[in-house]
Amino acid sequence: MSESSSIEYGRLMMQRHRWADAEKHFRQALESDPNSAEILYMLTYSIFLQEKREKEALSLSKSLLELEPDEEHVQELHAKILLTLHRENEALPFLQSALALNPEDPDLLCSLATYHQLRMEWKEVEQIATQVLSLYPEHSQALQLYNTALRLQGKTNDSLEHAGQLLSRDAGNAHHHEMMGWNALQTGDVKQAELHFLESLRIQPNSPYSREGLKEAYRSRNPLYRLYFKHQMWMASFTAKYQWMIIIGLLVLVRVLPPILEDMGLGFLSTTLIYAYLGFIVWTYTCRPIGNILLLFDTKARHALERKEKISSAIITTLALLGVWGMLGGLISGSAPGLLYIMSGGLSLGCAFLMTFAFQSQKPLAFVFISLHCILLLLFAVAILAVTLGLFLPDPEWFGSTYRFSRTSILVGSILYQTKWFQRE
Amino acid sequence: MRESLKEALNASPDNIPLLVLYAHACEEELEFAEMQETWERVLQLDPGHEQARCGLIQALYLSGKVSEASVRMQAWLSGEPRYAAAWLLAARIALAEEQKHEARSYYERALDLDGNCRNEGLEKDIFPQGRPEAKPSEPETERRMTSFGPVSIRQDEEEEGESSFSELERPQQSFADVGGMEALKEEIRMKVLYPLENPQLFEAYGKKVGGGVLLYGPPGCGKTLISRATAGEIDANFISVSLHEVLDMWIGSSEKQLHALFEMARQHKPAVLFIDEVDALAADRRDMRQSGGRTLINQFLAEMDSSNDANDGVLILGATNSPWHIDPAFRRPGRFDRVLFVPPPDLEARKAILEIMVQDKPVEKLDLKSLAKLCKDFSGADMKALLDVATEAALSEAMKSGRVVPITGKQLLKAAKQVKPSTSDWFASAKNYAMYANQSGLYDSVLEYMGIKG
Ligand SMILES: Nc1ncnc2c1ncn2[C@@H]1O[C@H](COP(=O)(O)OP(=O)(O)OP(=O)(O)O)[C@@H](O)[C@H]1O
Ligand SMILES: [Mg+2]
Repeated sequence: MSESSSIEYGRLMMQRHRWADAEKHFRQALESDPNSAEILYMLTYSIFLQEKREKEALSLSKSLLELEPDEEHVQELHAKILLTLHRENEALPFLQSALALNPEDPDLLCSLATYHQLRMEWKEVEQIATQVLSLYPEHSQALQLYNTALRLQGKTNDSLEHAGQLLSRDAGNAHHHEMMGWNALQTGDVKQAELHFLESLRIQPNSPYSREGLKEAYRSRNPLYRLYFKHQMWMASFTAKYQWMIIIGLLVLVRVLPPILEDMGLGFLSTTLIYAYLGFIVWTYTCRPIGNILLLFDTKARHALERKEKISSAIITTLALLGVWGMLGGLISGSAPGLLYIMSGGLSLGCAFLMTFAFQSQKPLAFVFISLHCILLLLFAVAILAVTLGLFLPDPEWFGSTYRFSRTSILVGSILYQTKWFQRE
Repeated sequence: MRESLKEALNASPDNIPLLVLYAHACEEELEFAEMQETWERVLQLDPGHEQARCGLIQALYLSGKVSEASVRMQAWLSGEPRYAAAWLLAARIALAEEQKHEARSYYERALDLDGNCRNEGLEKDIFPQGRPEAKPSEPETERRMTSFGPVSIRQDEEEEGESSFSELERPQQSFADVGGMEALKEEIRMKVLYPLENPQLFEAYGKKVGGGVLLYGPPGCGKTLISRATAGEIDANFISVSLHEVLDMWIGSSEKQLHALFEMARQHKPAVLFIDEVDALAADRRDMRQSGGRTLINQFLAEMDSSNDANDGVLILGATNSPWHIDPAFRRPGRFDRVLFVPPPDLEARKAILEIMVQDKPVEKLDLKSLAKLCKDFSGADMKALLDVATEAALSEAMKSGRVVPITGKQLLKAAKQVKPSTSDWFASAKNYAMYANQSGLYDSVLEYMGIKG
């Protein structure tokens, strides 16, 4: 088969959204003409469009940029890949230089809106999407961005109406059902959400967003999870900067209030406050994996989960349950060994919290490191339990230093493990 | 150029396309040692990479290690690669070793595989008096003796020039050549073979014989093989259409060619018309932008319709690994109304595949069954890759000692651990279709295979 027909076949496959087949043909074409930037571009594109292959695409688009640094299509593709990898800050310069040449290109503008979406800057998203829609009223990605922007700014009535209109115009469109699904989730209509996501998947079974939505819908059958989802959406309505301010504000509150309360003779309240705060943080991080456990008991929902999700949710739920059990047991018994139960329960809960970062991480090494950290903490927890059983009698010093070490390491870990070093390459 | 590529490689040393670019750059700048290293790297990453294998041998040859190149080439050719460049290079190496006769047959073989790979300079060296024009097409199988042992050469219409069209054939394979898969064979017997063999029985009930059967399943699991074997089981004519022929119809928007194909089947009935990768032809019209494509699909739908009396006695057999890309209209009664799932080979089949594959290789006596057990979820193609890896290992031993040493069980077991089953990707995607788009129970067998019910 000659090279030009390979390219032709590849294009045919791209038109039919058959990215993997297109990739095959482009690879063949590249073999007979390894220096062609054009073929490399198409190959990169076909890989980028396949699920979970973004990293491969990125390394190809990097070499492509070296061949054709000024080509705007290459810049656009590179930016898009970076955006899907949530590396929006790196993507911006490429987007800008491509936009400088083509300021009205709808796809480029949508990529810019995606940049703002990742930074939770919903006003900008809405504005850019409106701009695109004024020129191309049917632009599918712009419609979705517009709807998401409305929804996450809390204008749920508007977004619901918008999605409803689209759906009544074209009920065979998977995107419209997906949009309705998210709106229904946000307004708490779990049953409707489930139906719309299922319908979207029937039309487009491989859509990762609808699959994610369906899982959210299944998890939201649980009221505690719905609360969490509300909280998430509420947090998402702030830009990233504000989100940090909220978290830090709460922390300050927890630090500042206790002495004041103590002065007022309400010392017991201050400990409660600190525990409530910690509990809240742990809850927001572990709610999703724990929610997944509930899916495992549903015959239909079970298969929507991936293997990795099943494993992570099993581990995190076990740790959290052990933690809650220890803490509650300790609080009820209230005696001196009770305090030890609380300590080991707290350690277990801390592990559940830290492990969420391990499972989120894209780096195998980070996973191993965090897991080792947790195993160390659990060993402490076991040692503490051994003390209550009289199997192990350390000197009092040991307790103080172990407790301090664990506390600090959990605190440091909870910040460190969220950083780029641990999460992304 | 080479420097910038090298930098890019430092950033991502495992990037195969980049390595390929770099190896070519090395060749251009006559850095053969580096070229060799680069191709070796590619082979480490992807042991089945034909271009790399060829490139590596070429690097050896170019740096003057002709006999080493020759040894490696011999090992490769014994597996009969369908890779024209390999035969071309073999011809060049044979010429360097003054084996004119071999060089000639390798060169012919290369041209058989790819008519476009002609090389003027080489041709002049091989045929000082000019190359005699191509002979008329030869019978099915012909064995030619070469210094590397017998090389069987099959004339395969799929690999010939693009303009040539399908011809009638009688596949040599039968169900005996397909290992395991008893359940599937039984289904094919019931749904395909008996009707064609006993048409009068069907007529008595007012039913017509023919129509369409669609086989689907993960890649490399024997769909093509079992289709050919099906034809070999019965006394019917077999017409096979390859992917390239189909794609060329697309590019040329050639409804005429499609019609001619069906006419040929009708004139030779009872006949099986086998369309491999049928999703390319029966594409979903919703995915089509231009109307040109739709016309071809509509034509195919019309040709297939069994209400058309002319189709009596013509069985249309389609194989695909993405049934979800097929236009739903093709599954209506009278078209592909029988749909069969071809799962990854079961234990029996895996053992049979291994047996077939080790047949003419120097292999230590070993327990193939336990090896087959290790190959859970492997496709036939994965097992081929496994054997290639083990062969490479044995070959490098052989090169050290200078004599043929058999492939050991240990090498095979190690290779089985290295090769990752390729069917899991297919199931990841099939799972979504089976769970969310399982209209009329189309994918029930997939759900059953995966252990998902309801
Ligand atoms: N049951 C089996 N018995 C013997 N050989 C097998 C069997 N299954 C697969 N193979 C071998 O595996 C290889 C791939 O099989 P084949 O080409 O038929 O797969 P396929 O399903 O058509 O793949 P694709 O979807 O990629 O076209 C062939 O070389 C074939 O000989
Ligand atoms: Mg096949």
